[in-house]
Amino acid sequence: MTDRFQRDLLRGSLDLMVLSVLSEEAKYGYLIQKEIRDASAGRVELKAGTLYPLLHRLETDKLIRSKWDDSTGRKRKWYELTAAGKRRLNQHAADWHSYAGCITRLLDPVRKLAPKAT
Amino acid sequence: MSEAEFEKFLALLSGMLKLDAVQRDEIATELRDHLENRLTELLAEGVPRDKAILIALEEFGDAAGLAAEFLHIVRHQKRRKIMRLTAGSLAAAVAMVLGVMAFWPDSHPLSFPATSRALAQATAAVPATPGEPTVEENNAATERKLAKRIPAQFADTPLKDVLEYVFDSIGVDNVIRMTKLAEEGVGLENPINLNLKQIRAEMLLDLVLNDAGLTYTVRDGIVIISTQADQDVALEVRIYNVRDLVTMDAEKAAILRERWTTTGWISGGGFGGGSGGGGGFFQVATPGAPAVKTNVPSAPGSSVPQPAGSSGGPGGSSTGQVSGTGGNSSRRAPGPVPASDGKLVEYFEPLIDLIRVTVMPETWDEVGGAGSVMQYDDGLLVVNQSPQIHKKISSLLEKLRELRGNHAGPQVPAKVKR
Repeated sequence: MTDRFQRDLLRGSLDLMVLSVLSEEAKYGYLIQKEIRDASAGRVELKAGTLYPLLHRLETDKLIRSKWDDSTGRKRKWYELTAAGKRRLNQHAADWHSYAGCITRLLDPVRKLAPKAT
Repeated sequence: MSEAEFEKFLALLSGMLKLDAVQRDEIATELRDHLENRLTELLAEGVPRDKAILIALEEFGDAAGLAAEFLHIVRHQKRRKIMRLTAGSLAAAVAMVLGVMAFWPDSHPLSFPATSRALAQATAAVPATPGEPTVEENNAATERKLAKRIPAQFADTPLKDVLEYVFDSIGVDNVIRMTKLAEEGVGLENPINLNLKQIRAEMLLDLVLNDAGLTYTVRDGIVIISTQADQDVALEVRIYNVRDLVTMDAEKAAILRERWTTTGWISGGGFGGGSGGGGGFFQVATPGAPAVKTNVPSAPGSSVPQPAGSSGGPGGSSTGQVSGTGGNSSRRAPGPVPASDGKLVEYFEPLIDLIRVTVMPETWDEVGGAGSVMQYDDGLLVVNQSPQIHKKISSLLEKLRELRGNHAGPQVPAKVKR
């Protein structure tokens, strides 16, 4: 059950994570994956098989755009946020904070009941 | 293991992506870049090369599932473009019609219904496009596509992605009756695990749909998927011409009857016993004379063979009808009478029993299933069963013809829409 709960949480927040990672500068797929892994201290392991279809979907939805670059000697596809992507990120980030705050308050009794660490 | 494994994976993926060459190359280039980056990282962490290559590949999951994901996105994009175009065209057409109406000399603001009627009449009067394929041609085209062989390598791939992959691979339109699925509480998320290099698309569909309690049928070239309880999709009436398999001389029929009643094979009672009380059908066709038909009722659902000469049970169809010059009793002793040269009989029961016993025995009405099989006049067999079972029946009939050396070739079953 816990596994499923965690999977659902991950599924519900993947778009937000990727949009957020792209909010500062353009990145290619591998960098996006690495940044999410590093930022979550290894807790969020976004599989390549999930990441690339997701990037293509976000691009289809015009939330990100891509361009090819081979200036580093290797042909590589870079992604960056579009204006619509930035708006979506801001909106969803606000929704997320609001929802997380709500859940945290709801779970307050659980925290109080939890055995204190010795 | 070498980096050539990367290329094998990318080639397999590209082969399953029904996209144009540029799109396929771009996806392969992007994924290759990722694989190489990941390999470098893992090697730097001290992971042995072979293991690092394996890990990098495993992180992509199975090629078929990934291909299905990409195809889903491309299809979704196309669909949206079509919808935008359609919406745009419709708006333009409406604007044009309104414009014409506004400036037409006889126009009147309240003349819409008349205009609509005229448009409807004009539309109705347009004949079908010449050369447009018929329903049968569409179905045949889809059946040919369903017979294509495709790779099937899935690791925990959701059923919906597998279905999408199959239909994209063979280029067939499909409809999933989601309302029916919801009524039965059936979802499309259950994981599929298969590792087959090649499999016919129809067999793959059978495998993955049966496990989920689903089935499919082909209507006008479109594959419709629904639950097995959805009778509209699950069952289909087809009429098979089995004249060549049930026509024999009377002597042979008598031997066959004797052998099969002795072994207890005939399930509907004595000779002439049919399913659920349906009467057996025995026809003596004498050249130069009208056929003699004897319809002998049998006990409903009886599985006990009755001796020759038994009148059968009371639950069968109404009394047997005798027509022509040869008959004189509706309940005369059943069974073929030794005939003189040239006399032929139609003997359906062995074939019906063979079908019931060998093709999914648990699905027939005799044992509480939904399927039914009935003989009809002139060598025709009417079967109401699922499309998958119809295929098995067709296959069985073809094999019988091969082994008997019938050269008439397999008969194409006539489909009857329910």
